[in-house]
Amino acid sequence: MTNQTSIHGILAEFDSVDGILHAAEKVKQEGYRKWDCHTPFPVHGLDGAMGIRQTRLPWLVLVMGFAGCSGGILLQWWTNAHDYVYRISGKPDWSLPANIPVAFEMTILFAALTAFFSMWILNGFPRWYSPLFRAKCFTRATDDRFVLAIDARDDLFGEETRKLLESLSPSTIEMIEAPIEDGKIPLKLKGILGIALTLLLLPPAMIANARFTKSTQPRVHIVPNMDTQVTHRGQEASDFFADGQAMRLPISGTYAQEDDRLIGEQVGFWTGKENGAYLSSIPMDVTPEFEDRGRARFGIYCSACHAVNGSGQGTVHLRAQELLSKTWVGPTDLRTDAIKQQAPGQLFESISNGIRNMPSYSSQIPAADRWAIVQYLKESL
Amino acid sequence: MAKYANVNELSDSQLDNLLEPPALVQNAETFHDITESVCSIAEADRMPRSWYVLFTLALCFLGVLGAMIFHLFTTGVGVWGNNQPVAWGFPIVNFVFWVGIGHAGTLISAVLYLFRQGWRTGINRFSEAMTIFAVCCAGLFPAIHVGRVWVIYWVFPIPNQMDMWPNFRSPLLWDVFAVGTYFTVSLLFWYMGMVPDLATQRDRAKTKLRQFLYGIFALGWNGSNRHWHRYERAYLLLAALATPLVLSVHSVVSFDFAVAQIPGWHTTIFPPYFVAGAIFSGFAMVLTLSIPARALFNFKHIITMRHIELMCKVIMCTGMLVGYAYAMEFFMAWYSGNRYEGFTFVNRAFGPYAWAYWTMVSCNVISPQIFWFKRARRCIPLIFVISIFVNIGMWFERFVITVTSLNRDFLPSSWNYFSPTIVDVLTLAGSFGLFFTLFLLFCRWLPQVAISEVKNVMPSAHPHGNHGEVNHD
Amino acid sequence: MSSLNRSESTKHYWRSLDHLEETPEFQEMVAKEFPAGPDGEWSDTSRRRFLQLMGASVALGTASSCRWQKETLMPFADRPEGWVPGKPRHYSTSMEVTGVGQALTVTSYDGRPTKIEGNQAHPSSLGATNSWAQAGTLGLYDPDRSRGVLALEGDKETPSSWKSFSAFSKIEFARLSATQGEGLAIVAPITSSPSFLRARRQFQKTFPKALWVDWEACSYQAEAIGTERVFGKAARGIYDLDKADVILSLEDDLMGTHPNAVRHSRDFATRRKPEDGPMNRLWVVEANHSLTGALADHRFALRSGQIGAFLVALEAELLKKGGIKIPEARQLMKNPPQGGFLAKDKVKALLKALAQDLLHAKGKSLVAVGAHQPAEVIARAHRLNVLLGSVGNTVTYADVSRIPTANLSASTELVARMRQGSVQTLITLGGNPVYDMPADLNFAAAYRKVKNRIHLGHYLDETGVVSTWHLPQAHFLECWNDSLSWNGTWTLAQPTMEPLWSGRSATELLGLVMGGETSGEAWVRQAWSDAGLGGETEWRKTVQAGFVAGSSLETLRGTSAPLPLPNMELSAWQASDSIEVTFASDPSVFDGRFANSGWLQELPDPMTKLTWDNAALMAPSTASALGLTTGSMAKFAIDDRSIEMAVYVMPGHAQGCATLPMGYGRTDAGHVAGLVADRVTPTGFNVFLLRGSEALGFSLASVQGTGETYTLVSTQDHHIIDEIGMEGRADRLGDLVRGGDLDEWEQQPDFAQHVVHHPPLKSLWEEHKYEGYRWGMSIDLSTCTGCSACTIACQSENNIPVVGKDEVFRGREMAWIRMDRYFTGSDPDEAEAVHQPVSCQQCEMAPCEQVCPVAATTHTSEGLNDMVYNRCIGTRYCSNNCPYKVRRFNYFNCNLDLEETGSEVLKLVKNPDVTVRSRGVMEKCTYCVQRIQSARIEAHTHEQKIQDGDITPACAQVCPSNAIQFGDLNDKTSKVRIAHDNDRAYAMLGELNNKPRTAFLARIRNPHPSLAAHDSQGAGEVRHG
Repeated sequence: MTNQTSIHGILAEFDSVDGILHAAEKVKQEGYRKWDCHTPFPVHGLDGAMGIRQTRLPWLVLVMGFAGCSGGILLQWWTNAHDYVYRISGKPDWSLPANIPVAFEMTILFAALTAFFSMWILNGFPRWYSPLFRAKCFTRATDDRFVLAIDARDDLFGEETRKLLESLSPSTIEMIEAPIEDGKIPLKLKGILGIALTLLLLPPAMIANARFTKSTQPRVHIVPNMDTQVTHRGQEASDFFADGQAMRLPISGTYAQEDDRLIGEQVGFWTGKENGAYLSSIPMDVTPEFEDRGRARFGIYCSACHAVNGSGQGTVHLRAQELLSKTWVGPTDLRTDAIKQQAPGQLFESISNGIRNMPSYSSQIPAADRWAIVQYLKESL
Repeated sequence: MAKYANVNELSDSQLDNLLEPPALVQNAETFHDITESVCSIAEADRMPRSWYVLFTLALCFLGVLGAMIFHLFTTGVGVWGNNQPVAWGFPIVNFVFWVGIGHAGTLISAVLYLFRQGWRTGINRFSEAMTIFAVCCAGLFPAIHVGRVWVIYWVFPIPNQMDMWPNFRSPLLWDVFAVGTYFTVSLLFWYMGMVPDLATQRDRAKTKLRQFLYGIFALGWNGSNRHWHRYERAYLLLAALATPLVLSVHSVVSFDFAVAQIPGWHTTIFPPYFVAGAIFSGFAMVLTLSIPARALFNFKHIITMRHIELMCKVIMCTGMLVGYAYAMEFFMAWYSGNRYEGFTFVNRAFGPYAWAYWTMVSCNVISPQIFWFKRARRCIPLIFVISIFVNIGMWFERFVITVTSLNRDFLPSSWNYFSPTIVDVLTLAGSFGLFFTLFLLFCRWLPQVAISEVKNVMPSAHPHGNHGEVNHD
Repeated sequence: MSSLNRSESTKHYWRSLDHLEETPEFQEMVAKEFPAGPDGEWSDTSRRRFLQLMGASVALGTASSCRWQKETLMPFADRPEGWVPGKPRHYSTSMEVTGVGQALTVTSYDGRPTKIEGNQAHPSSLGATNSWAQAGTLGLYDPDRSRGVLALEGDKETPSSWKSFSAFSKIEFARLSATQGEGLAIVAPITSSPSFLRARRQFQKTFPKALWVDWEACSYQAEAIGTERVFGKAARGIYDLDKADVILSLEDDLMGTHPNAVRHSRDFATRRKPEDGPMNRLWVVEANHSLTGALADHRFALRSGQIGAFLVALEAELLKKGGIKIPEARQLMKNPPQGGFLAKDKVKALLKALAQDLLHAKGKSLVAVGAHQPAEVIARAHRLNVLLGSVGNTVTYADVSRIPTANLSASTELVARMRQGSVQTLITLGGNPVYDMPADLNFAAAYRKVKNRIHLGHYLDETGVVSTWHLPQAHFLECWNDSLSWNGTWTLAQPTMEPLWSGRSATELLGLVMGGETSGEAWVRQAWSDAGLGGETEWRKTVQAGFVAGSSLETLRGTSAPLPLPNMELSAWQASDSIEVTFASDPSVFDGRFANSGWLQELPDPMTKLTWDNAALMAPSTASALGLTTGSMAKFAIDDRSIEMAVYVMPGHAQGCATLPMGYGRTDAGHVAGLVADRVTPTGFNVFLLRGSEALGFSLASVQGTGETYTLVSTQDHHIIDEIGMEGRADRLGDLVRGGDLDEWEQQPDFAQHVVHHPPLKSLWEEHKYEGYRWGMSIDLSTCTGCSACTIACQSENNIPVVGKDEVFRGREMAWIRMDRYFTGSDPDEAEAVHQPVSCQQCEMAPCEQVCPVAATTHTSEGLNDMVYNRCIGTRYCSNNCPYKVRRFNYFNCNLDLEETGSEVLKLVKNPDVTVRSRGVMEKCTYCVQRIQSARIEAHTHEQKIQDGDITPACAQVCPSNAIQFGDLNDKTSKVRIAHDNDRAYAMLGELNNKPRTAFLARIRNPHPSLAAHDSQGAGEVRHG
């Protein structure tokens, strides 16, 4: 190879369990630190021979196991007994027995994941490259050979290292040489990884974008969930009726049970007129409550235009003037004699059927309330 | 044992057999032979013709499964035979069936590992793979059997547009966690065990592509003993965790029924009964798979007669456990004095579904009894047939539990008969397609036997000097 | 395939799947007289294929539109006063069936009728209705209704208009009036409408020579003739069942198909609650096992032809006891009827006890007789009321001579004239004579000889297709009309909607052809003002109330004049191939007029539980003697007429006879009941092909099994139940449907609470307290008649889809409240029936809730077991864990018919206050939570608590016998609380400790002491099914 290489270490290959065990003991006695044995299967006794200390893996697993258990219980308590409580089969909101299975499974899950991943991490995996792989004989370390490798970085590493290994009568001895810049990720791979990462970032970016931009379309709604119904609620359109309206007008001459209008003698009450003449008095008994209601209704329905004091300088009117609206006809000042002299029936009729550009209020204000407003106009205003 | 009565009558070979059980690995002297015989399959350019035949077949069934699922999603669960009152039909039956199959794997790997049963090494990779694939099939059914599959994710505790959390009182939710955990842990267990073998294959690989792919998944394993040390510890821990897990999973699955109050479901015997059944069916499936496999890829020296015999014994034993459970159900139904329970069980045995019940009993309880005889335990074809019987029987057990309990519950007015539609049947068949497709791919590309572990139990794996003590199974 | 196929024909429903199927097998199926059952290849596959492709299309639909759909508001520019959008209004109107008006209150949602209830104030309704009225809205919005005037010529249909028809009629009827109506004939349905009768009189003045034929299949002239003999005029018995201590029904289905059944049920119920004073006793003698029979304290199954003899024997018994005096006493005593079935000791004892009972309750007894019985029997039965002094006490007889009945002689005359060709113009005012005239007249053939055949009808039915003019008839919710209810109350009908398809009423058509008034309102108004009932205000009040209070018919007093003896058929039936067949009206489709209503077709028959079909009902012994069983086809023949029909073995049916329900086998009804032209096979079998003019009620027929079988689909006993099943059922029946005899109750009023012995029901945890409202329901099995009106009411209120015969066959019917029916008794031929309505029991510890993984069904603070549709993912676990199996699952999208082109109108039948459920969602009874909510809103606006009675679920509201109570269990004074505290109250399967909120009240019966106490319910379930 063109680029210069360096010594990474030396390895000796043995073809029996005994060989490697013996060698390991020796090397340990010599006081080497940075060395290792590579075997196709865990060789019993080798740990002792190499003097490897017990791993602290089990403690991690134990801790995470507890974490999983408490996490499971916490999850269930939070979701079912705290964040969104509902009544299930008359059972208490929080009872442990029903939550044991999940807590148990969570324990196992956490512990297992810990055991698995922390093992790899402690072993420094994944590490796809090792200089050892350069060694010719190393390929059989995963098959049927037992390899002892001493790292060049070990303080004792030197000429006598080779001698020591030779003294252990291995089947082969090999220096591990590898290019210096070896083990670096090739540029091509880097490029690919980079592109992959940026692609991964796209979806969240798009979502974020959608989240903070406005759209003319109705919002996305993938799961229908019976949200759009075939039935027709109030004021809906219908593709069935010619006029496109789902609401149908009552047929003239029919009377619903709720429909008390024009049933009974008190035509005056409904129209404000009795045989052609306006009612000169309110056809209801006037109580304080009645007057209060009149004031309230006036405030709700009339004051917007006529102003609370009836001056006709209501907010709508002011706004219209602001806009210098040409077509706007100002609301009447209700305090003028012209109004005051009107018969209650006439006022009632105006409210009911509208007058000039004031619309009819009969569909919004029940008749009784209209009379109450009339009363308010007459007396209190 | 009468055999020991007069030892001197015995021939030497018999003596050997008695005193020293036959080696777990036969006629394979060196570690390399093991490596060779396992890896050569993945490395071979061609498989035996039968592999291709089976694979095509499996693919066809997988296609059927796909078609059925499309039909189901576009139409509605009405394409199945489910009705009122039998709201759970084939899908749930299949689910429980497959989960049961999925138990032997982890059991063999974990429990036998803890008990230092060396003989597991020959078959654990197999059965772990089987577990993974069986659980895949199992997981499929609860997912597709719901009415509105597009909102199935509401069963997970993740925020959704309903702004509600799942109901942790429901056994179905326990299922989600149990089966989910079980799948994850089994997968980790399987993969972890496979890493050293993948390294072996990486190092043997001839082509760049194989080197790359095996290399990626081998994570750079180099057999360092410092790694082995942590590895073994982690493996032990996983085994220790998987053992209670494997017992819990089918217990939780049994809660689906035991927690409900339908006569025939509402019984405390279910958890142990289900676990026993799961082991039972799991081992049967291991046999069903390993018998042809060992012939096909000639592993006869790795999966030996001894393995098979031991499995036969396990099947016989668990079969009797299951039989006991059947009997106990009847006893309790009578002993409880509950009118509805009593009726349900009489109805099971002699009602409209008697045929299913007796199929179950004859397959699960009667047929394994033959394994009392050593000759039977060594007659491969017979064992194969029995293992198939057990699989059938265990499917029917789930059918009996689910359908016969539902079809006649409390109010006679709502009694009805459940009969599956063709879609039901094809979906079940399709799930086998999925299973075998995955399994055959596994056979083709991955080490079917835990190479390093098998080496570990070979006599030559143990130092003969004064280092360390000999570990025997 | 499909989208193409589907676009071909205009209308598709879940039922019309057949015509998507193009296989040759299907073709021959259509050709064949009888379609195969759901298990038949074709229908099976076609059904699936249909749903599959529909499902696919829907799936794509949802995929394509993944955004909220845009909606446009269409408010009224000028809203009528007092109109609040989305706030229902209620209109009083009425519906007339065979000349009897039913007073209704129609709920109108934004001017669209969505629900029909009974008129609270009206004496014949008191707020309840029968199933037919409930299905009225579906009838209104039925897409199959004819959508305009048609001019027909052979097979050619040319769309026409009222304008061109009136142009035609002007000329035609001008000609006819010149000849005083020579060659003009009218076939009119039976009606008591004063306005129509007024129009009719006017019409007959204009066309004196015109032949007027009153015809309806289920109206009997014999009744008029019979009553005339006793009362001098055609009379109608108006029964006060609440006043009667002893009631004898001679094959009169008082609480079932009787025109006044609704009121009867209410009155009967008042005397069936032991705690509310003395119970009455009901004796029923009948051939078929009717609802009334199921209610009876003593039921005696007897062939229709022997009822007369039984009656005479009873008279003899009464004479012997010296209880009554009749002119022909001497010769009757000389040779009293004896032998035959009368020889049986059982019958002797029965007669003895019955006679004794009648005399003991003299003046407080009541005898009712079926209208289809011969005149002599009817006369004698009503005379018995006179003799026993019941007239004026328990029964008043009203003069109905002005109300026409079916006129057989006139029909015969008409057919004869048509054959001669002396009829040029025939108007059918809404009936369907081609379908339901007696077969021997062969009306259809003669009809074709008429030049101008004008047919007014809701559908282009059997008569319509062979007419020259078909005119759309206005639905009773679309037009002005009036009628007399059973007790003579003048009942008005106001339209609740403009005619959807330009329909007109019969009166309006008469007006049109006379060239007179064509506004229905004017006719009604005129009839009203003729009666001089007041001015404008009164009129409006009357319209609003829906009836003229206090109006009634003239009452009559009878004589005890001698009467001719009826046919004395005494011989017991010997197994032979000839049996007696009784033609009965069908509880679901009546005489076929309601056939095209999916709701009614799928409504299980109260007794047989059959859906989508009728069947010949036979006693078990008779069936086995003939080698027949449920589902086997049999050939019935009278003279040269014959039909093949499936048999249903009906426990408790009289031996030696069969009951044939009419109204099925429609070939031109529509896409629901059958439309052969569009390859929709008819449902059931057409019995009219067998019915002859010689005997409309019953007659002898030869019967023979054909060896073929037919799949009858029922909602209960779906499959033959084996020995074990029967034992299991018999064993537990007594626990589920609890009941006993009166003396049992007197000894231990709370016996029902001690039927099941179980450990004390304790809870492991502290239970929820339900302060505030605590909704609950009670169902009194003692008064429930099993009429099944609740099922339809619920279907209409809660948008419950119709699933079709095949799905019912698979056990996927959707009814939220079902009527369970069990037969009890040791001998199948003497079986008794019990009914039990079962809906969601709203358990406080609901087993369904804890198993749902997504909490789609949870409890409200008021203890309702709510079903959250859009939360449901459809695991169906809840249904498994429900001990009552009241949960229903949408296995498919059951509302696909709404998506179909041409059936948008069907959307209008859905209640806007209730979600239309999608595919894959579980549903069940909600106690009508939408009604609870609206009551809550109402109460809230008035700042008060919800009062007892403010909330009435649809089932409770419709219940004719008031068996269902609903309300707040925390309110000590509420009806439901009182019912729950009743001694008879028990919780079904209460031993499971799920604490149901619905309580059942045990069924108490009042057998005659002298007769051996029959097996109480549940003791030995009948082997059947």
